[in-house]
Amino acid sequence: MGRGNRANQERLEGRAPTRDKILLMSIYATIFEALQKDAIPFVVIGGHAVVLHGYQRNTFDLDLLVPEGSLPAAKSVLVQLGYTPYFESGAFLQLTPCTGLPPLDLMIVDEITFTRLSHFTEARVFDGWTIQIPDPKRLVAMKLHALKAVSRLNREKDWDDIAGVIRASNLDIEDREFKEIVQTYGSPGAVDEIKGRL
Amino acid sequence: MRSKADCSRSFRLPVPPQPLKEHRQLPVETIVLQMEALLAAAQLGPEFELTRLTSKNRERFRM
Repeated sequence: MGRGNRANQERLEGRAPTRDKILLMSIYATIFEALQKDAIPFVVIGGHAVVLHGYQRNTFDLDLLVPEGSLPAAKSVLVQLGYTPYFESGAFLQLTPCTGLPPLDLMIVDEITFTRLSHFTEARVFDGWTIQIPDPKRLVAMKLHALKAVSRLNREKDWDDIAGVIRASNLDIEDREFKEIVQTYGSPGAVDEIKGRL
Repeated sequence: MRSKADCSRSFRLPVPPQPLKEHRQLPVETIVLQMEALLAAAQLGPEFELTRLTSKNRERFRM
């Protein structure tokens, strides 16, 4: 049993990890290790991807993009880690953690979308683990998509994230592909909103 | 309305903020308690629950 597994077992049993294990405990790596061990493909999205592109902001919960074909396996692995399904729709599976792990949201996409997005990812080291995040343009596309939902509450944070990623990545907003992304995924006023925030 | 991060921040235990370089000098138990409090705060509170639910109530992303 590895270090992460030992610490996780102690969490599940409600025991406080001892000092040497606490210092070795990784929060997010436990999840990455479990998914990669079962060959479940995923891409880190959301706030952590924003931070990993260089825009520093507070974030805690973890958002992962998974292809729908891998959802049952991912769900099984995460339940074994102590997660409990909290809300599920055709687009999301939200999970509540046991003690010591972050709230986790799985964004579900079809296989074609996952494969296409996989061609536009970048590797980062996160919590000591090498993971993939969307490139800046695709991350902006996801944020614009989220902003289209009328029920979205964190609009200001989404716009801050978009502007932050553009600045941190030195994206050219006059670039043809970027313009197409904004037109495809953004609402009619998205271009002006972005320009106003840069 | 407060964001998830705001909920987490407001639930910190009464431990004074420490510069990063001094963080390792905190008792391990204190660090664990802080983590536990943050984790608990992330799961509690109707505002957090509402934010968490409604923010994910949308159509699939497609490429």
